[in-house]
Amino acid sequence: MIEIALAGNPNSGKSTLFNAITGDSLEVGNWAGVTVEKRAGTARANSGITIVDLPGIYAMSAHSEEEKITENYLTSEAPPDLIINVVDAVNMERNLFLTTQLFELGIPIVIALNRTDMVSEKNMPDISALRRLLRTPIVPVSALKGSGIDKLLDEAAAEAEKKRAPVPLCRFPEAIEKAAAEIQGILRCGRHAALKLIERGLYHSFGGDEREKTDVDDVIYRCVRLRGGSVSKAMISARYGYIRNIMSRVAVSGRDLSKDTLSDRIDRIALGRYTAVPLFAAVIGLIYFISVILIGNPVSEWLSGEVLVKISAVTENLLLSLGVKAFFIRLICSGIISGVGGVLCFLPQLSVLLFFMGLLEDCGYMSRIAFSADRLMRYLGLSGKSVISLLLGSGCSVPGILSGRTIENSSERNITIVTTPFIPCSAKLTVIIFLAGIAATDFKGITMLLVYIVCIASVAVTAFIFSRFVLKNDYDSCFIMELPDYKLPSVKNTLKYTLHKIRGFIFKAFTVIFIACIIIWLLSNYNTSLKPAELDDSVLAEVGKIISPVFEPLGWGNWMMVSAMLCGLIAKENIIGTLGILSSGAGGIDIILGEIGFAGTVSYLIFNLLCIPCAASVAAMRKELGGKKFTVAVVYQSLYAYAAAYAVYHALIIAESGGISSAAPFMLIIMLALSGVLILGRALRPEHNTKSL
Amino acid sequence: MFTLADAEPGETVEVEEIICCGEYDMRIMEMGILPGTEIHICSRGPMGDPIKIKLLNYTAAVRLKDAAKIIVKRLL
Repeated sequence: MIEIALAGNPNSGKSTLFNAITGDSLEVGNWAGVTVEKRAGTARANSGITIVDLPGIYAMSAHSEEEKITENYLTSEAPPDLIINVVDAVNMERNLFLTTQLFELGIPIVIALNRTDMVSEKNMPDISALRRLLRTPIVPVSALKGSGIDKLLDEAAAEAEKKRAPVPLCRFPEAIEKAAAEIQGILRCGRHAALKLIERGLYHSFGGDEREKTDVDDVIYRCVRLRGGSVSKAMISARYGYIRNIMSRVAVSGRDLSKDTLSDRIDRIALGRYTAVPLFAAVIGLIYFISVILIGNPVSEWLSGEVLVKISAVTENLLLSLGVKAFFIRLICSGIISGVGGVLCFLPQLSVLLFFMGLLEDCGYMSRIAFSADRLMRYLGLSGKSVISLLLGSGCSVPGILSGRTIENSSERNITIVTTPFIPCSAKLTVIIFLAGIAATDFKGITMLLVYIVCIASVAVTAFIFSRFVLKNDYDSCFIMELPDYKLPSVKNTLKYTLHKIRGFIFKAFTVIFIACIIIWLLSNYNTSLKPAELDDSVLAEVGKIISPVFEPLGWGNWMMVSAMLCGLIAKENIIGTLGILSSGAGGIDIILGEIGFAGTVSYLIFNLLCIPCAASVAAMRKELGGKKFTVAVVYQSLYAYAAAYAVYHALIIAESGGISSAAPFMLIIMLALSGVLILGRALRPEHNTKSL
Repeated sequence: MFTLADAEPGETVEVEEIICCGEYDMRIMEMGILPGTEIHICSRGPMGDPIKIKLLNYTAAVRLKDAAKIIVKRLL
């Protein structure tokens, strides 16, 4: 078994290459930081080869969480047998920087020169010369078209067999070379580890033997004094000097930086002072308009209104004629079909939404959104990259939370993780459409918009509060983000990727939600002494009635609503399933919602969207934030959801009873509270420290 | 002191020196911004910050506070 790792710069096409080799369908996209996890697969052509896809890195000095994953793996006790270094042919100079560092690891390397099809004839590097200079196998490939893959795998297998590590060709100034050799002698470590210690300087030394530690510190100290300046700067310069030397021998130089490319022309509108924000609003608005209002809504209504009723009736007749017991008929028809079916009705609009999101990720616009929003986001205590997390979170919170890893600054990253679940994910969207459709038939669109505005405002308010009072910025970070060229999104890949996600949704409907529906049905049809009972005396009713007074102030003290909310903590779709099951015994969902009224329904929605997210997101949050911060986040989310639902409920009640004028004092109090936070927050503005300038 | 943050969109400049204050600033140099590198300033973001620059063979966004660490000179 040979283990081969794919390493290279972000957005150099590692995941695309991984998919081409393994036949898998990992997510790919046109921005830096799509992959935030280490993932393995088996090569299609050779089952003896395991391929490991790694997050992209610019250098072997991790600044963000996802980069640490790659660095830790490559320098671990159990490194891969071989590294396929993916080098972007369009951008060789910067890509080769990492290559010089990978050469020092002592692991065999094959270079995959990707995107050679994107380089014009006259700019094509001289590959045989490059091979000679680097003394390493180089295979030109096109991951997108799948060309050169077989040759790459053959070379890799042969090279791994030889177990021959490349010779580190990049040399540093005398003093550094001497220090590296001495440290290698003292610690019996590799060149990479020694250079790393010198680069980091004194006081960064590892734990271990006291004497070795002093010896190493001594060597580094002498080296720094001899160089009289920043050693790490000198090392980076030496690497680029080496690369420029190579480039001058293999590549046709002479690029024109001021040349206006197609991407630049698109950027003039996409990043324009007056056009960037309207364009973003238009793109997102259009995606939601098409998928939710134009296609999704009519289809879902038809499915839940006609198809589901028919399926239920047909099944009931069929089971009756087969002589199945009444208990099972009721379980299947009013339990499983109304529960699982109710969730599956939203499949069409979800597919369309995910498809458009996929196109958006593939075309290169994502990093432009991050670019345009960075200034505003920084004021709130977030990073431009947080917008990418929030957008991904509108599909599913879990990838949204994980993508926070690409944010270098820890405070910005943690706040992104806390706020991403506030953006309604596709599961929450189904709940919004379901409830808004019943409670507000005439002004459904406006109700949904109101709910979304509350959610987005919650992100802003929370980020603002957290960055000033809870997770203060503890250290400086540097923000350089690559803006890849636009490309025409691949419909085939996006379809494949959409199907991949849809499969997950269907799987969830038939496993987690299926089981939950059966349990909920049983709990709502039996009492505490396990006897069949009316809905009002069932176990679920007992439990719901104990907790429901807590939610009386929010306008939905109804035990059915409370039970559905609790079930939603496992997966938010459960809210629809539970309400479906419970309402079939209580005269229809309209009646339950009629009891709590429009204000109560909106308050219920707000609470469910903002409170603790589903179990999967909670697990992701816990993993990313760690114990203490996670507890703070979850407690905050619950309290905040309660407060927001309370405020919205009372605002709506006042507006309903006496028009806008009577709501004025209430609004005034909220405004005063908000401006209080704002003023206090301005005073505690988290400006990055620039005192050293 | 003329830095990348002071340069206007449309200008092409050459890097003279990087003022690094911490380990994190090394990222600037690792991305290829070091003495001798040519940088073209394409545009400013919708809110004036960050700026869009081109160097080597790629396009990047840099915040003004980081651009202020890069001392440059105008190229004619």
